[in-house]
Amino acid sequence: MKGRTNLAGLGFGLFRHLVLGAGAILMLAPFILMVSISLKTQGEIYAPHFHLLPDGWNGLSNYAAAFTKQPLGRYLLNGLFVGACIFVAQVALALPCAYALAKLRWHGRETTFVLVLAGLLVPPQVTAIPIYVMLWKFGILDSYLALILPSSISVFGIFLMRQFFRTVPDDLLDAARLDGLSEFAIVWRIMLPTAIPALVSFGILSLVWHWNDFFWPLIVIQSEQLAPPPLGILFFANAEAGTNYGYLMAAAVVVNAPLAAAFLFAQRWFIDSMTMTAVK
Amino acid sequence: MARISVENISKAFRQADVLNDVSLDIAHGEFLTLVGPSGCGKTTLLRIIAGFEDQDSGSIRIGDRCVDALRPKQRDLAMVFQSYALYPHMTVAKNVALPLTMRRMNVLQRLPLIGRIMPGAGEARRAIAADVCAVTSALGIDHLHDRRPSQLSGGQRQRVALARAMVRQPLAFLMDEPLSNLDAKMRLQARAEIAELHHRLGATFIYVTHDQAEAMTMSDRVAVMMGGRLLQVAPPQQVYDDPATIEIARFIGTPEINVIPATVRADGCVEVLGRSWPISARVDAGAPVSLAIRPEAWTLEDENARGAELTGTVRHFEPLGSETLVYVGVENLASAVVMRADPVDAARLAVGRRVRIWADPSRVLLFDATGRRVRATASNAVSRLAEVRHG
Amino acid sequence: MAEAGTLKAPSASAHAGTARPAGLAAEMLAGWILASPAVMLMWLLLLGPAVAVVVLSFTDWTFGAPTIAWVGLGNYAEMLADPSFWVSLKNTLLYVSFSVPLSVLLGLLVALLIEAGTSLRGFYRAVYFLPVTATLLAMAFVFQFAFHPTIGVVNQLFAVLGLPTLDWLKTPSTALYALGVIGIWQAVGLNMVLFLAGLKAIPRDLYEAAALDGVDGAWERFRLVTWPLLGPAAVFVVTITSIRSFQVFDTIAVLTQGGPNKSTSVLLFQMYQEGFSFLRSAYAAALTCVFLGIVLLLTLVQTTLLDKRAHYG
Repeated sequence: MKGRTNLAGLGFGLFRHLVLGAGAILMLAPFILMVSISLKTQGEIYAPHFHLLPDGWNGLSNYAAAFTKQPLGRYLLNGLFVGACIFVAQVALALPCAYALAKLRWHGRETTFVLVLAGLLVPPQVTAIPIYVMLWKFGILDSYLALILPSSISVFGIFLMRQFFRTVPDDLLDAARLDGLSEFAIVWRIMLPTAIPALVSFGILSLVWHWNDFFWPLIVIQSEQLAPPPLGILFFANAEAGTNYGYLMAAAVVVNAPLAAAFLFAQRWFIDSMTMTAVK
Repeated sequence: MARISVENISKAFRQADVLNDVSLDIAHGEFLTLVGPSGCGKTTLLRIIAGFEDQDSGSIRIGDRCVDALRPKQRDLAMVFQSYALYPHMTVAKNVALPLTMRRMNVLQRLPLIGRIMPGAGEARRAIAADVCAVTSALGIDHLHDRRPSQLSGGQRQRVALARAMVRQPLAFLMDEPLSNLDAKMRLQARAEIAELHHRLGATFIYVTHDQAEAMTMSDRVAVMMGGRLLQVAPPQQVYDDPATIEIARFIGTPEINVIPATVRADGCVEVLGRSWPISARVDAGAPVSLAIRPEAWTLEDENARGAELTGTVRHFEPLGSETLVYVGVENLASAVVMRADPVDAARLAVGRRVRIWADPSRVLLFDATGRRVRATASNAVSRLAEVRHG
Repeated sequence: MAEAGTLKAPSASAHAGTARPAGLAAEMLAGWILASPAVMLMWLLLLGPAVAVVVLSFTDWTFGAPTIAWVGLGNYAEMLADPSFWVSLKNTLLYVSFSVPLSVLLGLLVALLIEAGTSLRGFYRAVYFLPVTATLLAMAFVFQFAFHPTIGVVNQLFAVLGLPTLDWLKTPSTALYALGVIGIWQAVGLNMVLFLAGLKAIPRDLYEAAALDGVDGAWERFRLVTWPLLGPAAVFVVTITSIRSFQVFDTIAVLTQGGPNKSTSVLLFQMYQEGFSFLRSAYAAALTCVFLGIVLLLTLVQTTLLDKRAHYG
């Protein structure tokens, strides 16, 4: 009896690894393919039979070309800069508002919260046309501001922080008021530090989203030197006429690498952060 | 200096009265406990005194000032919260120092990094650190300076909260159930420590609790609140011996006081279960009254009981070591009568045995149908306390 | 009565109101000041534009035009008469209707299999989640290579297995499905972690109680305990996967441009073309409104379902 259960258990274990393993290979295949191509010569890429490992290692020249044929470094810095600015703006705007929504009593609080919930329902693409027109009127299309400003307010961030702040005990705020902190000081000296775990999660979400966002940059950015990574890749593809996969894949590896590395180092954080959308 | 007056405070939340015209004077240096069942308004009153809530009417005076228009930080009170409300991201030393930092240093000096190079910042910081040390070592937590609240035990957190309250030498201390998050043993110890602290500081303490044992053991005076009203303000022993209403009598004391329905006859004598007791009261004849008798006011007397006696059957025992609680079921009484008995006497009894128990008539408390206290006279010579009751 | 002196008569409260308590007013002011920057930007950048899109859809404005006129439902009438709108709508629904069930079921399967054992859990979770953080635009080019008619690994593999080979992205009947594969590839990991979180929330002792009650075997356990308790999570996963599916854009924009022969033109892509390539802002706004309507409808369905579930959730 016992032996049979063990055998069944073993069989199931094998089945589990077989299915999950096969799926894992499919999941990883595009990444493997990307790295493989990025190491090959143009001739080998177009060879009639595909080999995983390159015959002649051409990696160095492909990656060097990726950085010299197009300003790939600049794209990366753009992505980082824009992502950081957006995150700082989102936090600076969301924290005080979330605090007021969660912990203060004022007329219009309920209405404001309803507006935040309404905002959550609006997909980012919906506002594209009016915001584009607005940026055009202000004459700031094709600028960093055009990338940063429309994302500077995150209703999701406000909602998330509000939910988090509601779990902070009122006693803590009363203690702070008694200790002489103003409401403004409470936001930055008490709420901000206690919210750091939630902010890290939100930060990951925000950075991943804006690093990878393609829709908005495609609309507002024309200049090469302002392009964030995904748009940069497109410039690459256009410049190389979509033919030189070696360079393109090298660039793709470079663009994917930062987030992939960050994910592998801080898996728990990434997964928790993405799961957080579950409250949305 | 820090006499605190609560004058006709009323407060309602969503049309429900939470505080109903509460007035109270707390003398300088007094330890006053607000006690009552949960929801009685005691915490709301404390929060109004602190300035966290606004009263609907009435006013609060601290010393000679009316503080109604002042923000919490301007009232110069300190509070110890039930949850301690320690800043989770700051070390013990920073927690304790914060009230001083906010008061003694200006905005520029408080800035992170840059603040250090502002004129006078170093000096102020050193003075604050010295004050923090003085307080923490007085409470025996100076070795914990660099810990964060999450690394402390319940008792240690409670002391840090005390230290943060003490450090700026406020006019008065407000405490909101500060011991309820401690385990039973720590609570006893902390109770003694707070009482001693009050003694040493000589400051005014307003202490809120639902635990009548805390109220009895620590306070100079106890203010009993129920349903948003202040029912009685008196020293603990007086509240116990001489409660103003039957709710107070029931609330104070464990095990709960025995309440027995009775009527008053035309001659003023009290009749219990058809028998006359040697107690009289000036109440309309025939009026229903309630007698309340503490468990220790009963004696077991098998033979010679006379007057205020009941006969019943022993239901069960609760031996507590130094004494035994005996539950006696009496016919026609809804609940068993609880009495304290000497363990030796109790050992002679057995469950199911008929006993006669006898109440000291001078210790029987009488309440009218509305629950208000009525003076009763023990018409028996045995009575010792018949003379005067202060009031 | 004891200490009756402290219990003053109510009449003494006449002087109340001389000094209005400061707390509430200050709190009001603080609330407004702290919330107002965010509220203003919310109107400027989110709610205002959302309203503007609706208003714009009733006009004839083209980008840069000096005049604007009210045309009522004109744009919508044009849309309903435009076969390419119907093609886009059909494509969108087709894309959603096959990519959503597949990515949800695969996510559920992976989550269940990962939870069913103890070995290599972290490894599998990491591998399946990796595509979620990937830059879709860059990966699109990898898939372009994989789907390449001659040198692509897909065709080479299919040839070995004796399956038909095609130019997947350039054949009208397969292009949308090829794009769907990319969408599924990226969505499975997120669905998996959401299901994992749902599974973690099911109390252990429920399984133990079920075992005592005679619930034996994996399928019974799943049917009687896991699935009912996973219900709310499943509704949620389906909704966000659907909304994300409706938003498919990156892969279409770089790989097919809506082609071949409009076979991959979806609502959002048509909106982009009308609004930003042909600069027909008002018409694009009307398309946006349809898009917004569908997304709101999905959320409404989700809310209704979750409310019903809450009775035994």
